[in-house]
Amino acid sequence: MYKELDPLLHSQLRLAIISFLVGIEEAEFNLLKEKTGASSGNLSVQIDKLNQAGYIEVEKTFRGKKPLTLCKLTKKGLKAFEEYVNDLRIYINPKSK
Amino acid sequence: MENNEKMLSPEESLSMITEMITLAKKSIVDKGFHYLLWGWLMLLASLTDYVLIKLEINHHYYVWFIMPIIGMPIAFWYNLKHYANSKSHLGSIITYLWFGFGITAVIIFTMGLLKNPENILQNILLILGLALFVSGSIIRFRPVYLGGVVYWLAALACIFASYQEQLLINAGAALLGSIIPGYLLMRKFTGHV
Repeated sequence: MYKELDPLLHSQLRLAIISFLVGIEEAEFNLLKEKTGASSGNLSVQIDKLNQAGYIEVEKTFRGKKPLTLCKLTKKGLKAFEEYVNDLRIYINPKSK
Repeated sequence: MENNEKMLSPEESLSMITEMITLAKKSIVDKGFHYLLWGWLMLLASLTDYVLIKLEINHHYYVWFIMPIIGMPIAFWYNLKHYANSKSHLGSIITYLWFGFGITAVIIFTMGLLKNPENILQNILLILGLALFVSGSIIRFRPVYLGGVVYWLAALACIFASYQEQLLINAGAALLGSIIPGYLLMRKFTGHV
């Protein structure tokens, strides 16, 4: 029987955010916006959800007078991502279980 | 990605993961700019020094100060513009590597001025070879890694050359070891030069 895919990650934008952070370690809000092509509002909502789940850490700071939102993948987020990828593999190729 | 809850098939998910991780890696890797900046400055400084010696101008070696004076503010501005919005482990390793190279180059330059100035160029070429070799391995780009080998060979060639000849070797090494790999790296990321 298939394990249910993590609903937090099994959504287009949240998966894009987490995958980008897996590759980069820490990214600013505008960089995530540029790379995912999402609107600011939608991106904020999804970042909040991931933050509340403890998958990412959000740090609000300033560069000069400009506000800066930095997003960083947590250990919990990385573990959830690894499990998600593993579950995907099982879905695609059940023999790999 | 306006549909914030759009569900994906497992195949679509895997493909998106690969795409985003590749995008992330591309956004942290130098797209050739620094190799081109420092390569051209080194070529320019070497040839200018060569011409100044030919013209019998004293203190011709002062021309080398154009490298930090011009190069550092441009490199700093470029990094601020392109890399300030992200942080990565690989990016930090490359920064530390080149920062370490810069400190070593200053030490070699100072030691050379105090004793054996004719060894300055070959020693700088030697550590430049190491820095490029390691950088090329980190970013997995063969021309940069081979650029390191070019600098090592140039350092060896300097043993048999006068200071003036070393300047020409230096200019050739800058072209083959930094400028050409820099253009190839730029072409890889942007599709054009």
